[in-house]
Amino acid sequence: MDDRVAVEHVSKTYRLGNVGVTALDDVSFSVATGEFVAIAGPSGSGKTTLLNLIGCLDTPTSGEIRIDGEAVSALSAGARADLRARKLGFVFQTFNLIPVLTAWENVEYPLLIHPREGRDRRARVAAALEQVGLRDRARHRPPELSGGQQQRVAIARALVGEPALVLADEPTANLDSATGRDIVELMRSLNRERRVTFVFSTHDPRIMSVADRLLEISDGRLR
Amino acid sequence: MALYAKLAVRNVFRNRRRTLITLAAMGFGAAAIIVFGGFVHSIYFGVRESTIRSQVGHIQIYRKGYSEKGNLAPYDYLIADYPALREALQRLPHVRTVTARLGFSGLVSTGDTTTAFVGAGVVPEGEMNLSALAVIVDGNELASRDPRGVTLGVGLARAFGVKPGDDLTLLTTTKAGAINALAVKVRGVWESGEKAYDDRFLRVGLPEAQRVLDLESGEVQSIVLLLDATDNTAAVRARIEQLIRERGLDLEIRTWDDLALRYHQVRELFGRIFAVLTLIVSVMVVFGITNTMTMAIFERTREIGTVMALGTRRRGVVAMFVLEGFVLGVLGALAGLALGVVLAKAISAIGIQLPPPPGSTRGFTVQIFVVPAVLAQAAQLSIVAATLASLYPAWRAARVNVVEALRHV
Repeated sequence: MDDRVAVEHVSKTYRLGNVGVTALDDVSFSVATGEFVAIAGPSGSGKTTLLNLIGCLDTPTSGEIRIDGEAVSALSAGARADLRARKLGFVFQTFNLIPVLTAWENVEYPLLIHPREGRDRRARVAAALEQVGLRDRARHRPPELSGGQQQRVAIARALVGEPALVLADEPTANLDSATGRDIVELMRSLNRERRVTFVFSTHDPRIMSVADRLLEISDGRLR
Repeated sequence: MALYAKLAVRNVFRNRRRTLITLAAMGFGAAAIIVFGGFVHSIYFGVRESTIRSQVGHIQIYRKGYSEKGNLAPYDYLIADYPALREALQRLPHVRTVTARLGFSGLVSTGDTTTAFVGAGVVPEGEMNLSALAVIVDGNELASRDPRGVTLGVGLARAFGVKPGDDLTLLTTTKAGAINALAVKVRGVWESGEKAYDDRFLRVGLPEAQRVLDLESGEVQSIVLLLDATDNTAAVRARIEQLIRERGLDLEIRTWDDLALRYHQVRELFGRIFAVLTLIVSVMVVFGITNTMTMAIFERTREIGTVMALGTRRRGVVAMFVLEGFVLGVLGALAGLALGVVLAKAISAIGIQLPPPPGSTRGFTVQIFVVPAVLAQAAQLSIVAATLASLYPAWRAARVNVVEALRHV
């Protein structure tokens, strides 16, 4: 099977006091290797919930999610952490770099928590920073970088472990439109040149337009 | 682990003001331990040395059985050949003074008033070295050329209202049990600083004591040795034991450690006070660190969510924060060591006067020793308490829900 991600009849219900709130309702779709998929929808539509589930940060109330064919909903917290380190890259709306680490160290972080043998760590960090065009900013810490630069570092961090899939939750929402477009173009070119599979959420129509496929979600259901 | 250590060190310096306040609290706590511990050790030392030098010496030698039964029948346990033993003991390394004592008791009278005394027949020259801390406050020391002389503790002299030159009569029983009297002249009044001793003790020349007790001239009750340093006691004791074995002598040995009861009482008392202080400082450190770590973790909730999203396991998060507590502990220990040593030196240099402690008649100057064992204890306490105190906040940090932590602002 060539699917990177398979989402099968996934529902997610939260409890708010005594009331059950359905964030996702029987959602199914799959993402093929090398796809560049946008999930679009208004705030509160379930975009972030869906990305959290695919990202193994949360577990579905019902249904199953497979990453590279591996069912994830029954995994323990530790096993999900290992799976995230091995197979997933994350890009956040608020960049979420570790402020006490330099750009280089932030990119290096995923390689250190899940050491892989026989690969040159330094070369990979350097290559990842090169790809996002920030090789010369390696020694800077996040507060010394602009928002766009920080997001590039975050993308390098997401890519450095050569993940099966990169998940980006509204990666441009905290950037001005020109910078946002640059970030999307960067992601798009990494997707084209290196066949990195991207799933990202957005409510910016200009960004939706560059996606291979647009999944529209509202009230927890795909349209 | 190197990654977490790097993060721990950098995060410690992230909120400098908070870290400095926490370190200051820890530093003062550790310094308090160092200063109080150093003070207590100087008291131990003072009590030990004053007891050794004014009374018990470093080593005492008796006829075998004296320690157990000598109280009831003191004259059944006499060392017969003191001069020969003295010769041999004097040649041992580290031995400074060898002297002999003959204890007796009875009544002392001015003619008008009478009271009980505890007396010692001593060798004036030997005893002078040994009683370095029992200073003559009136008159002179005993002297061999003045065989009738007696010196009294200051309390005893005061109770009688006697001064040097006055006559006294000592009444006691001889070895055989007969009553015997000795006319003496007060030669001097001394003060040892220990009230019980100063109120009841008197000293006469050894030959006079032997005469009034009807003993041979070589017979003494105890031989007292003073060494060059207290630390050599065990070594010299071993040499004397060897000597006793070689010559097949019927003797037993006691060291100051067995005899200085008050020293052990003081140690016991101050040891407990010190333990209470240690406990207070530990609690202080634990609360300080718990507070600091809890705030740090709250502020960094989203970072915790981020590193967990990147695949850090819960135990990694625990390690990160426990290491941070450990780093704080090490820094607090260093601050405490520096502050404690400086304070100890400064207080000793200033020379604060304290009133006499209970059971003593002399005030003293505060001395703070810098004791390596106390330094180690203070440092260890900071580090261990800080590390342990960060365990619970770290565990809490690792339990966060990743999704909620990522939403945290």
